[in-house]
Amino acid sequence: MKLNKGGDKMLSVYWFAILIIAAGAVFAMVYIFYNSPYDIREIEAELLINQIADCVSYAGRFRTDLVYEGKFSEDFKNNILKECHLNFKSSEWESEQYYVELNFYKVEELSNPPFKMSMGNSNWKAYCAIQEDKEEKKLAKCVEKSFYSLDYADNQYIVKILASVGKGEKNVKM
Amino acid sequence: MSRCKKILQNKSKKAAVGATMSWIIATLVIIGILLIFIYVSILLSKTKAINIGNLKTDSKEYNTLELKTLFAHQLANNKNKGLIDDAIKEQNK
Repeated sequence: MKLNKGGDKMLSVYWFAILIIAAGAVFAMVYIFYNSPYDIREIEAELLINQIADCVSYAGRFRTDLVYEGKFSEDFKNNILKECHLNFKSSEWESEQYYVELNFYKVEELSNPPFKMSMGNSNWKAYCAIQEDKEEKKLAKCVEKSFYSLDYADNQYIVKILASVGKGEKNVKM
Repeated sequence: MSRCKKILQNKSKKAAVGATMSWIIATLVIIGILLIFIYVSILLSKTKAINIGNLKTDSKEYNTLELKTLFAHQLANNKNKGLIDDAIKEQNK
């Protein structure tokens, strides 16, 4: 009885080919999954907003060095980063990767804020307008939140905080 | 005899073709399943965009800004509460 040696050789070649295909597929799966970074910019922006909100308002009232008797302080506005213990500069990046803007609206007039503050790299703000209709992952991540607070003269204000985080290269697969 | 030999030869050809087709189909099925796994890993890589919605729990917890708003309402005796809450809801959309 002749053994089908030619057939066995073909089968071995086939199984090696299947093995290589399967190994290639496993490599592709692992590469695809681990090559994409985690995008934590939204969480960063929310934390930044919370930090700024804690800085300007405590227990429902604004700090007296921010607003006193209905007047907002320009000194606080110019030194807000120092007052809120924030540092947007980093040795890892050439330019600042954060931008924060605060708008203080009086409850009686919600269309026009009498006072505004901003800090960081204002170039990131433009990306927020572009993404109003549709979010683009490769652009800066923008988060906007509002809250209500009083000053010590019981004037009512709604504060809208916009936070924008760049760092696209670290959070998104470019 | 030659007729029997021909019949046997035909049958073995059919068997060989059948076996080859089975192997080809099995190979295609394996490649198809691997492609499905690769597609699933692409989908899983897209879940790496972490947002607050992914982290929220079912329990009702106030966030920092909501607490500030609540405090302020308490201090102002809920003056203009409806207007303020609507404005904040609108701005947070």
